[in-house]
Amino acid sequence: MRKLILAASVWVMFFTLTGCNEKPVDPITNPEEAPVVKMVISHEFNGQRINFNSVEYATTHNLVSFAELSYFLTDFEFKKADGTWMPFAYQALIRARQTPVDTLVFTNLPKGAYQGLRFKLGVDSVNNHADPALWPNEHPLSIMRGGTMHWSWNAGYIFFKLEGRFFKDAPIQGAYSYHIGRDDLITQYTFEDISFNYNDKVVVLPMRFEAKNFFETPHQHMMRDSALFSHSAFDDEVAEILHGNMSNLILKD
Amino acid sequence: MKWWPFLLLMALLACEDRETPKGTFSLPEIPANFPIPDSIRFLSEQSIHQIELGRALFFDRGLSRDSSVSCASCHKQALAFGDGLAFSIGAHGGSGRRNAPPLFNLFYPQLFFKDGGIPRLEEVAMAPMDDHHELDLPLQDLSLRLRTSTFYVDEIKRIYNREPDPYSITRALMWFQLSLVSANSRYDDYQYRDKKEVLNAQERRGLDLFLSAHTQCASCHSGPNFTDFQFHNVGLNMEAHLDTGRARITINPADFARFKTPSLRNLGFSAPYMHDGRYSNLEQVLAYYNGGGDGYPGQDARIKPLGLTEKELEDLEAFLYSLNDSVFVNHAAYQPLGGSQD
Repeated sequence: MRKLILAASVWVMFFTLTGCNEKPVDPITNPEEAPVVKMVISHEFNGQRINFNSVEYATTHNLVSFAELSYFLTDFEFKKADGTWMPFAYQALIRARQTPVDTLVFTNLPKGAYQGLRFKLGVDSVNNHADPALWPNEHPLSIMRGGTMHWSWNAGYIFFKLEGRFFKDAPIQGAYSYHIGRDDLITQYTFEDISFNYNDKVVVLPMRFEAKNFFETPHQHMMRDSALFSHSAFDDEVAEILHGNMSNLILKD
Repeated sequence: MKWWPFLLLMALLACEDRETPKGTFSLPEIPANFPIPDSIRFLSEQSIHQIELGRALFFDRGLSRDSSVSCASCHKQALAFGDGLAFSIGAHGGSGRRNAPPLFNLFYPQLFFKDGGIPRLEEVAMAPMDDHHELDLPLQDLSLRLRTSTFYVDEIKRIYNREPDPYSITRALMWFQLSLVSANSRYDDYQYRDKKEVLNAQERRGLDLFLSAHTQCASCHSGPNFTDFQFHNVGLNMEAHLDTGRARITINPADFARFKTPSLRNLGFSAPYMHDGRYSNLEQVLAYYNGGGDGYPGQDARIKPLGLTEKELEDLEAFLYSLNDSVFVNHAAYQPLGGSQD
């Protein structure tokens, strides 16, 4: 009798699970013919491609150079024609020093017209505090790929890392290092002035990462002894002030 | 001068191939009613393989950037896997910023580290790996280094069917730490083996004091591991060495200077004491609490002058020493494969 009940339970579970398996809205049967959406991000300072290490750029209060610029983009959503947002599982680790112009490629979107895109600079709370060793080694959130973007002392990711040197009226010069993380310091980007038709072969969404805004907009940041680094820890006003500038970093080109 | 070939050679030598473990690991004897998960009490063959791999890693100096220190350099078995220093010495001679905790009975659910910043035992080893003052060899770098070792490549392939990577390394080290079971103190004989005669009269007076409403020791140092795993501000003066404690993680000012209640097991081996190792012996710790603390802002209200006599303090100290587990600090299976301590 127990075996009978067990067998019946297995059949019920099987039909329940297969019954919940929704068919794709518009399956793409031939990947080679499938359209792709490419989001191309160019990393610039005041409209000029960043030249790492060798060039000094003028902010209002300092000259700065860049040694490292890395960040995570996650939680992508596309706005459909009916106005609803469709989640699209995608995470990206951008390493601008290695790839000054990075291209994120989205495939297998359901065909149709879209009129917006939104995503987060940072990692959502659940993934932020999950065990990072469980990701496949090729995944952007894996320690093997983004190890230097993970804090081990508080089990979370560094959402955004900018490091370099600053110069102003020598000898006032030195290094700066801004590591922004924490659940409350995630930054949402929403672009509702984007529209495209996913029936097209290739859709390109050009974006610009404007590093000058990190130092200028809206808060004009000045390098001082107390404001040269941030680890987003307790009592870290620098992280909170600079986080206020982070909503202006990625712009539609 | 080109120094990188020398460093590469050092790294390769540090991860030198060694004899494959023979499955010899065994736990110390555990009292039948000692609270411990069955997955630890009855280790599977797969768990034993992981423990032995973790043991190899734990004692391997190749886990540090300059191959100068291993996990065992700061977590010494003879000291209940603690360190005898207030702040441990890491790679390049760097110094840690908190007293290295002793390691045992890590299978109880808890947040790890004194500020509770780490939610899982699997991730505990990542912090010293990342810290420039400790091992200074992040997991991705360590993974690549271990891929040059036939021993680690073969063992990890055999156990996890993958190459050395963050998953395999963290699991192996987790299992070795899980295997560190301390359940053979005289108090354990008294409590879990029902040998009431093993505690002498002085120790039993100390136990009574420990459990009393007057001292309230057991209100935080509770349960089988003598900790509630909660975070408390015991009022230590921070002027010489500021540490924000739990607030560093939660960003909550109410958590300022709160630290996780440490276990009292193996106290006799694990001096110095407090989060910064400021007290070198147990008498100083007891005198601190008997005096009602330093009164630093946020001090827990339960810490107030106790007025214990010298004799009562001696009784309390005698009881605390009954929590020492000599079997644990001498257990052969916790030593490196070659038998020599780091």
